[in-house]
Parts: sequence; C-alpha cells; structure tokens
Amino acid sequence: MSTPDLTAQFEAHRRYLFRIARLQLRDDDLAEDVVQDTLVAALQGAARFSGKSSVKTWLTGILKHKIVDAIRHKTSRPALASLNDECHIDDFDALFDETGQWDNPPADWGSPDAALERREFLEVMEKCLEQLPPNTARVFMMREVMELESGEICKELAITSTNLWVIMYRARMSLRACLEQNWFATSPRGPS
Amino acid sequence: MISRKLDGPLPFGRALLLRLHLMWCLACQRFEKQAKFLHEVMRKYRK
Repeated sequence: MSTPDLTAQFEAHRRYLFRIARLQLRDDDLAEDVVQDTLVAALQGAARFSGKSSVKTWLTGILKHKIVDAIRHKTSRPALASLNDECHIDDFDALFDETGQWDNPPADWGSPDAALERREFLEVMEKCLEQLPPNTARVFMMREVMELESGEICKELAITSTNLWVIMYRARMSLRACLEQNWFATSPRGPS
Repeated sequence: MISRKLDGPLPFGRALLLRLHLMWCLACQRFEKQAKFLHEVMRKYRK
C-alpha cells in the first residue's frame, strides 16, 4: 500500500482512535496527543506494515501502547486508594440482602443481540462508559477494548489480580445497570 | 464469581460451586447472560 493511501486511511480512523483514547485517558488534550503520536509512529513504521491485519487493527495496536505509556507517565504509580475511592462497593452490596440473594434481581432483557445492530444502542453504551469513574473506565477499556491480559493490566497499573477482578466487577455492574435503565427498561427501544 | 470468570479461569472448587449455583439461581443466570452480552458489545465497539 502506498504512503498516500495509508495516510488517507490513518485520517479515516483518527476519530475512532480519539474516541478510544479519550475514554481511556479522560483528557481530550492528552488523547489528541496520544492519537497524534500513534499516527506518527504508524507513518514511521509504514514500511513494516505487512497488511496481514487491517489498518484499523494495526493502528489500534500502536494506540494501545501509546495509551499505556501515557497512563504510566500520568501517574507514576497509580494509587490503589484512588481506584478504591471512586468505586463504592457498598453501592453494589445494597443490591443483595443479608442472605446474599439479589434484592433487585436483573430484569429479563429478552434477546439483547438485536440491540447490537442499532446505532442508538451503541451511543447509549458509549454514554454509559463515559459515566464510569475514570480509573474504573481505564481498567475496563484496557481489558475489553485494548484486550490486554489481566496480568498485563496488573503489571501496568501495579494492582493485584484481586483488585482487577473487583474493579471489573464494579464496571460490569455499573454498565449493566446503566443499560437496563437507559435501554432495556425503556420501551419501545427495549427487546420486543 | 461470574464476572471473575470472564477475566480468567476460576479455581476448580469455585468453578464447580458457581456451576451448581447457576443451575437454580435465575437472577444469576440473567446476570451471567448480561455480563457475556457486555463482552459482545465491547467486541462490536472495537470493530
């Protein structure tokens, strides 16, 4: 692929890269810098792009490393306390009674897969992601979007695997509740 | 434990306990389905 072709593709994916970076970093300026670094790195390494993966996948791979570097520089040693402080486990403990049973069990979402084809659903999902506390969102995105292994995330953020599991649990509980409230419990957009 | 399972294998004993629990707990069955759906949503989001 010629350099002009690649450059055009880079620009086409810039908005997607910025969205990912912003959700991770919660800082528009930093996200813009990271995306810029990603595109520069991609241009410099264009000759090494084999074409085995899509350009988008390749750029996302570079972005992943740039985001991790940015997180590492932003907080030299992310304080576990800050990760704990922003997620109050008590909020989720209130969902269960003293015997450990659900107080307010999850509603039936029917067949939610159809929602995946709706653009409005993905917009609702993005809003729910934006509502996650910053560090929780960061960890969740590292796992689910960047597809980093649990061990990699723990190493980068200097947290234990138990911390990671708790953070991911909190993120999933928050997102589940947000989607239930803003999509699946709202007819006629809900599953019917 | 349902969420934990999505991030790595559970120890055998816990995996067994979870499987037994999911046989009868409708609410947890729903939560498991919804947690897996979230994973699918993020996969779509990546694309």
